[in-house]
Amino acid sequence: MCKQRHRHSIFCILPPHMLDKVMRNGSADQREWALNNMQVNQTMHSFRVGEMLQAPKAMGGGTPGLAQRTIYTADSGMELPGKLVRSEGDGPTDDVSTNEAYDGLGATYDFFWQIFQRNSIDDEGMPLTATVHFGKRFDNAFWTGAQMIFGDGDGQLFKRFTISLDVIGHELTHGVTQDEAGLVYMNQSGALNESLSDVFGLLVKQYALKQDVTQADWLIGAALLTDKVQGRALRSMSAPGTAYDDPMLGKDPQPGHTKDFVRTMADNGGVHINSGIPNRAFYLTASAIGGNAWAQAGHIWYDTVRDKRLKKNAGFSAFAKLTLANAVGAYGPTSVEAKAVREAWNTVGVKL
Amino acid sequence: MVTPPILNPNGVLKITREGGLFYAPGLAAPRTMMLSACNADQQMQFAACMKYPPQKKTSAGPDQRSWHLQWFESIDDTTPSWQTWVNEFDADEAIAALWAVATPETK
Repeated sequence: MCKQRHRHSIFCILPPHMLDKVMRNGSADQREWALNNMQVNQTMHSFRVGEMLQAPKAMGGGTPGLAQRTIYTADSGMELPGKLVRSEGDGPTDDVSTNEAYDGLGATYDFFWQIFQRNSIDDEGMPLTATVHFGKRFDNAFWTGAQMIFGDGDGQLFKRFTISLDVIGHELTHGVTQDEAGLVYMNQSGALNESLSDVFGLLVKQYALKQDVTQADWLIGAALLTDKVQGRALRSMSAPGTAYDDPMLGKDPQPGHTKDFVRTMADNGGVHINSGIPNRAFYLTASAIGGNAWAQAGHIWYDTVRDKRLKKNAGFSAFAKLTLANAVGAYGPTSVEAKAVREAWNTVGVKL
Repeated sequence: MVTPPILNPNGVLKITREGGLFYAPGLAAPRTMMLSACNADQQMQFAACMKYPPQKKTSAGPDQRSWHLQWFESIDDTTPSWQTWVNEFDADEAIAALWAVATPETK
């Protein structure tokens, strides 16, 4: 380890877990330095959410309840983190994507803090970093384990990926899930991982818009598709398989019942496909309870992702049993909530 | 081991877009392009696609995408003579450009 007192250059190699700590707790300049070093070391390219969050937890960063956001632009390149364009507390810029990313990270942080008293992704105040304008016509958004990345979309099928608040919430929830449950990103556990991101991504949106279960659209990425696409969104939680039917995209392949479960090698064993089943179970639970979905149903699902009995390779049935156990534990065995959970899983064909 | 395949005009490049925030069957289907059907610009893109060393598929993080590139010596071959996976993060723009004009496989 380098023990010299000097400003670190790329020639002073630090182990990744130390760079992690700097990224969590350092100033904006220090975090930029750490990110640059990670890139130089090419650790960023293979970085995993798990590697990031399984490192020793850093001391709490910032003030609990206040997000620490930093937004960069890649200016259509692929260098990370890019050029700093907005830090926490700065006013809006002239760039829509920058402001949407800043606001979206803030809305997601606020949701988890206000509803679950969770202090950021790691519950220890992890700073939230995003790069916008990544690549050219880049049709994706994802969480690297260290930061968010947003493409501008191709303009033909997809608009800029900062436009959907639920997509931002979806990506950050992947960090929460990895931190709490570490669900393996493959087959049924991967579909649960995806479903949890859809659930909390939509709850972020519903909370921001103050929508109850009847007002919500239950659509993931509703704002993302251009008007050239024959579809409403990327996914529908209320009616999986109906989000789009388009000559270019094909037909939405999501099932809403286990009898239609898709066995496939593609998509990591269908993680974005079979997530329709637990997605619908959440929608049915929340709808049966009524009111705001984040209030009871959201708490049951959040308690479940934090439940130490939830195994990394859990399947639908194991997850469903834990949601029922948490509903019974919080509200009682004969409660409306427990009944709603039981009937929801039964409706989508998952055995309890 | 990292020697790229010799490109013959009858060879076919198959490009598959795997992963990402969503799964759309129309975009996930493999796409193919024969070298002899390429114009000069596309031949340059072809060469850029083949610069990557053979690599096994690795598990990308949630919603991260990768390109699966396969080279077949002829359109009748069922086994690729070369293949690799490239994280979208590391990918040359030529891959996306060629994928955009390649022909989707129909099952």
